[in-house]
Amino acid sequence: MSINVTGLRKAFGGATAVAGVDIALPNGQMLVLLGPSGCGKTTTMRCIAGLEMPDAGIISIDGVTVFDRAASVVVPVHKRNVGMVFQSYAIWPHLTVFQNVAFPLEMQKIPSADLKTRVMEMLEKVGLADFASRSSSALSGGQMQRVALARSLVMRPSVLLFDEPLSNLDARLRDRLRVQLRELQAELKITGIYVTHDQQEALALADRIMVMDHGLVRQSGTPVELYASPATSAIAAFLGYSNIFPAEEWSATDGGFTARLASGRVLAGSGETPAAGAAAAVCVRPEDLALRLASPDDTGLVGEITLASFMGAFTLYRVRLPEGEIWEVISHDVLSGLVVGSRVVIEARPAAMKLLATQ
Amino acid sequence: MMLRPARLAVMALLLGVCAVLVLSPLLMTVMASFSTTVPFSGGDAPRFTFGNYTALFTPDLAAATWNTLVVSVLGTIIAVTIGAILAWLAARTDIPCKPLVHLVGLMPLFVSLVVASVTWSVLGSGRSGYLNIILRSLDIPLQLEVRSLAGITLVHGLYYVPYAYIMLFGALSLVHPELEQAASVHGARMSKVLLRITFPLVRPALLGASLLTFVAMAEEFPVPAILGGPVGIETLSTRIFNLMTRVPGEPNQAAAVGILLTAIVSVLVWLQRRLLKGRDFRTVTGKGMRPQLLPLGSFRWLALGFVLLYAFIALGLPIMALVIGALRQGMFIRDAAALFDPAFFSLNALRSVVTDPHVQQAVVNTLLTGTAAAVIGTTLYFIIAYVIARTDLPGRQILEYMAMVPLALPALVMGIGVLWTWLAIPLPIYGTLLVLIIAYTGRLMPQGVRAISASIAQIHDDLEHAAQVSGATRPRAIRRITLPLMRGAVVSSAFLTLILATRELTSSLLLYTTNTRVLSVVIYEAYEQGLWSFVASISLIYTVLLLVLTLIGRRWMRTAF
Repeated sequence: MSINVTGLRKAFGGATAVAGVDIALPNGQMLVLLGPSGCGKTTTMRCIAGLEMPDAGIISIDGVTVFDRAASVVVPVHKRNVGMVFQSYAIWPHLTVFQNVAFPLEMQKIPSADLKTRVMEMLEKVGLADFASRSSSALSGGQMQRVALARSLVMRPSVLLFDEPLSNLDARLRDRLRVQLRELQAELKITGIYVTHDQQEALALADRIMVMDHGLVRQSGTPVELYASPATSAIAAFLGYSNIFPAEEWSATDGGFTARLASGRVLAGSGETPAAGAAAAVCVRPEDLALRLASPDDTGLVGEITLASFMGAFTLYRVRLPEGEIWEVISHDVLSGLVVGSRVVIEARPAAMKLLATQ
Repeated sequence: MMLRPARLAVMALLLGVCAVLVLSPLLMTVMASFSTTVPFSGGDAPRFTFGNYTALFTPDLAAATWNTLVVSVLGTIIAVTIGAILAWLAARTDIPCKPLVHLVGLMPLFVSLVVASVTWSVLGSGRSGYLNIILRSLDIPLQLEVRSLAGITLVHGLYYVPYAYIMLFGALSLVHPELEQAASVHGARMSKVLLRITFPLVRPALLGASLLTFVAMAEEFPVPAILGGPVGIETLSTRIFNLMTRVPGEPNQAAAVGILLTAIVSVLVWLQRRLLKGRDFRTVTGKGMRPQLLPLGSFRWLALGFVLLYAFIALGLPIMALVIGALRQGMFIRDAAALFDPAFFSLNALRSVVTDPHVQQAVVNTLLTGTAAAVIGTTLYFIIAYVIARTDLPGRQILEYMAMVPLALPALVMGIGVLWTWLAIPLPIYGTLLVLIIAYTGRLMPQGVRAISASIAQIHDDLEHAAQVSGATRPRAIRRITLPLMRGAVVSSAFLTLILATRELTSSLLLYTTNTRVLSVVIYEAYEQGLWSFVASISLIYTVLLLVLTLIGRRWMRTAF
């Protein structure tokens, strides 16, 4: 159970959707393709499933080439043995839960006794054994999601594809299913590709993340690697860095950098710097900053709180500096007593400030 | 909020109008079927009797029932099969020239069945049938005879395609492409996907379309009258007409057959509505839905060929026959070469038809009655639909049922009922164009009210409430907000009413008088007298007229389909 993709390209009319993507996914791993809508992540996955015909590239599943434009190899969708959980779940409303899950096995012409055991086993695993004879049009979103998962798993696919399967669910259900999905994936050692635009989902589910934009892979790595050191400010923006300030000019210092913003403010930080002369931005995660009430003689990042939004576990503050920049800060000290209008100082460790290339 | 007396007055007025338009024709026919005389005819005192029904049990009626069944069942199979294939090609595949496919699926709706039947009888009947002449010239030992059960079935099957097409196109467009893709991914080949997923998903629409088509064919009059009449093949509807018009007439027996037909149709309509209710497999959320068309590969051109073949048989051949019939002089045609020989062509027939004052009168009558039915009808349909959907007036339910009554009323029964109603009511309406307008308005009520209701349902009533909260009165809110939002649906309903009224024959045939002939009636009469070049000329004009109306209306009607 492994997937190899090399040089995958696909355009729709004149618009390039995938501009040369390589994937090497070993057995039992979960790869998340992360990116904004239109970045080519879904098209990449649909090419692997066989639902789209790539313009170029080679795709092999389990060492078997299923697509090779140059060699005219095109294995049709129904013979690729991939499982897929669709965004709409695609549960057939005219069939019962059991019939839905049994469908792939019927297509494989599995004898009915064997089929029944395997279907019930799988329904057991996703907690829907009692629903076997229910009409599937009466299921809730979360239940449909699990039927879709069972239907894909029951065929023992070489690879399981997930097309934003949680995006149509409400937030709490999504949190719960995300954990269940990760559990199941680890237990069954599923080799899977998961497409999403939600960074939390990506971080929680992936063994490896590929961030895509404009049809290309911009960065790939483990969730922790990506979170700790995004390659560009655009990727940082996608991973929750909400304070991004383009630098007018910047210079490397010993073990760090100083950068001047458009407002004239000079920020300094530590860590690696982009290649000399590259356009760059200072990126800071709101949870890496802290606030305290300012005293009259404080200097530095002194400003006024314009918004305080209490989220339960933390509070999100927006602070406006006299030069006009707006900073976002997350504080876990919910009893700090800071309110809208308070004059505060933003405190940051040097390591919190990262200078990242904009491209 | 209106005051109570005003509310009651509005409702009473609407119920009264519907009662006269649709309920009275039904009641008149029921009464006549249990009576010895025509209701309120002023002749002998009516006596109650079951005699009209007992008199029905004759071999003739059994044969008519059997014929009706045969042509309707087989016709439905043909029409729904063609319609389903066209709908699938247009909705789900990458067939080339898609707008053309769509047009072909809808176009037969706007062909007059009178013209179609007349033309087919000239194309494929007897030694002088155009197709038979061509077949002989090609030395093919095969001769067609469309004046037969098979012919009636064929014409039914060809021209009732749009009903199935419209319903299935709608249903198939709504099937989420991921449902099919999921089947492919999970191991099903193309044919399995179609058989196990796609068509089962639209089964309610398929069944609904079949029943609707069957009902329409079972009550169909012009086709069996024109193709079956000359060779003595009767269906239930032609039997009613024959009982009405022969001398001496048997109007009470005709009424009894009419009620029998009404009963059959009612059961089927009820069944159809029941089937469609709550069996809606739509799974479209609008979210993440992208049109995914099935690549047909090398079958693309074969599929287009099928569409063009159908278009050629249903539309191309008849139009060719009309052109030849209108231009060609002399009835005797030796062979295929002579059929197309321009030496025999002249514009005389066409010229004399265009200058014929009777024909001119009929054109004016057709356009007048059609336009009036469209304007009056659509206004009425809008008011009824609005009252049903958006008010809490008492009696809304009754109004809704009344508006749907014509679904179960065969056109012939409608015609007879309207005739007797306006002979009984002492107003000078019978014998004028008004009685035709009344018949069309009543007959087309279910289709109009439904179309407008559907579009009202799509407009959230908060939009109108917001206007009222902002200070508009209810009528003003309707005029400024609801009506403009529904403009497309209202205009399209008016156009459809205009076209369907313009191609109506059945009830017109029972209601016309010397000065109120419409085109379909003129064609039918001329065909009975065997005036082919006259019939062809006038049919050509009629067809062009319908075509022009359709093309003008198409822009708006697209939204309705």
